[in-house]
Amino acid sequence: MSPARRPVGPSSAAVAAVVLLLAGCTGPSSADRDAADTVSQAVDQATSAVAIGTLVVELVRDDRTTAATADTTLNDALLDVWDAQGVLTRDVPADPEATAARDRATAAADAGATALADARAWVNDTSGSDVDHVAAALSAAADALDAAGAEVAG
Amino acid sequence: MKRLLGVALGILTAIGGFVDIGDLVTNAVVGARFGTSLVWVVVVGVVGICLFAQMSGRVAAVSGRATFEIIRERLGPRAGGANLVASFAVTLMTLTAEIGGIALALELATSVESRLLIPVAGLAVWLVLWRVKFQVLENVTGMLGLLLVVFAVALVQLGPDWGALIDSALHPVTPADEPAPVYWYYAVALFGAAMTPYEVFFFSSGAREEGWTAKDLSQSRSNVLIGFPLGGLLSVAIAGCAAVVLLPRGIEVTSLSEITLPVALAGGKLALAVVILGIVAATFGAALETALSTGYTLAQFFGWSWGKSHRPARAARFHTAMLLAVLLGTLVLLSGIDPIAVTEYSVVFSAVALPLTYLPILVVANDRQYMGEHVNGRLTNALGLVYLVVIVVASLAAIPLMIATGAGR
Repeated sequence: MSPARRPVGPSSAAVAAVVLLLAGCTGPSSADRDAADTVSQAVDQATSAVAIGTLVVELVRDDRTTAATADTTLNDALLDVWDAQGVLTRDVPADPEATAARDRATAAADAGATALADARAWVNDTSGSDVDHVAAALSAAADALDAAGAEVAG
Repeated sequence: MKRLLGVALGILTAIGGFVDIGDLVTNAVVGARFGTSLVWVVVVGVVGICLFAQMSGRVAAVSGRATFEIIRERLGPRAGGANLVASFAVTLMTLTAEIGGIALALELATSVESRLLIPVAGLAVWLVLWRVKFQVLENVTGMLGLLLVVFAVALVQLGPDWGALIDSALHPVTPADEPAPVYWYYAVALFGAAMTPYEVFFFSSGAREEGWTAKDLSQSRSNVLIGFPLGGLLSVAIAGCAAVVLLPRGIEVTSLSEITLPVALAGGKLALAVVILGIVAATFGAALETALSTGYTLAQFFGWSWGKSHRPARAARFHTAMLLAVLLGTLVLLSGIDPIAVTEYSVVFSAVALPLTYLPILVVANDRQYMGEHVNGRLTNALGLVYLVVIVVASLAAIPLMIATGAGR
């Protein structure tokens, strides 16, 4: 989230009213979203999922959550990242540059999914991984997603 | 002493019963996206539900008529019937969300997939409705719902920058990367979560179930005017926890599991167990209230015998309506629909449907034929009219905002 903030006042309400009226007349705004916006939202979703995984791993390491709750939370995070992967895979960018950005975002989301799946296996004690390895994979995926997000935004 | 205990119990159950799946999800989503900058909507919603519930409870106690008996009388079968369809649909949607909430909370405790737990949740709701007395189900779930105070404890333990939280709440701002329509969409959703129509159906019908008269008005008033605002503080604590833990990490709330993360971070396994139990109690209590509300609305409109105190054989259609509502909600969830998505839509449609029940209650609360000396005072009427405008604006804006923002995406 950006730290830059602006006040919400009557002008914002007026803008909101105009936008919603226009949107109500022209149909769902999702149809109007451009490819960059779609990719950006999918990257945000995958980034959020990886952040959830990172927090869960910290909680398990510090014995502050149960295996059942951690497993459920990681499973929910995996569903989010799969959703993001689906959006990225279905996206058809308009030019080669956008396609390259989309491909890097997809690779980063894939890394996030793998890291989350590994974390889940670690929580359930079904893998030989240790906490450092799991945390490092999540951190690397987060870095890749940040870079992909910056590329899409820039 | 007995009366004092009764008042205390009423207030405690009002606090514990205030938060349901809509409040849990919407406050956490908003806290994770906007920090505390939408707390003002919770305040507006809590004042509104106090006003609305207090009026409908007074109307029920004085006139002996619950909400949908009045709607049928005042609007007639046609307009009243349209009102019934809309209110029933929203209540059924809320019931579906609550059953889903029970299953999701149980999944957090067991890691058994929620779809396997949905029939268990539906069956448990129906069995309690069938076998347990009204006061027992109301008081037990309300008291257990108080466990959600753990959100407030967690917020304190997290040691946030209180100045920044309060400043953000007092000077509403929206993140630069969030469009204004999305901010206002969530404002409407939060308002709908605080002012859910079923709470009023349940409150006014509960007054009849418990045989309230004009003599009980002071207790009704204290339950509402003390219990609901304290319940509202729980909503603020949920948003606060999300603002402190989830917002800085860029975590979006898409499931119930994320809502419990700040509590586990602050209080460890014990706090986690308490919050899961609290969520089960809150959603279970709300599922009972919404299921009863489906029976109340239909029975009151069609003039059937109704009431939890009546044996099923003596109020067969009322009990059958509840059973079918629980069954329908369970089947909808088994289709694979996301309970959190149902919750998000249910709070928005609550805002849409709100004027349908608010206006008749406001009119009857001013009618001396029904209310005698207990008609609204000037202050209540002034506030009532202000809220009529707020409710109508929220209702009209809800669907266009939903379309414009892709449901806040």
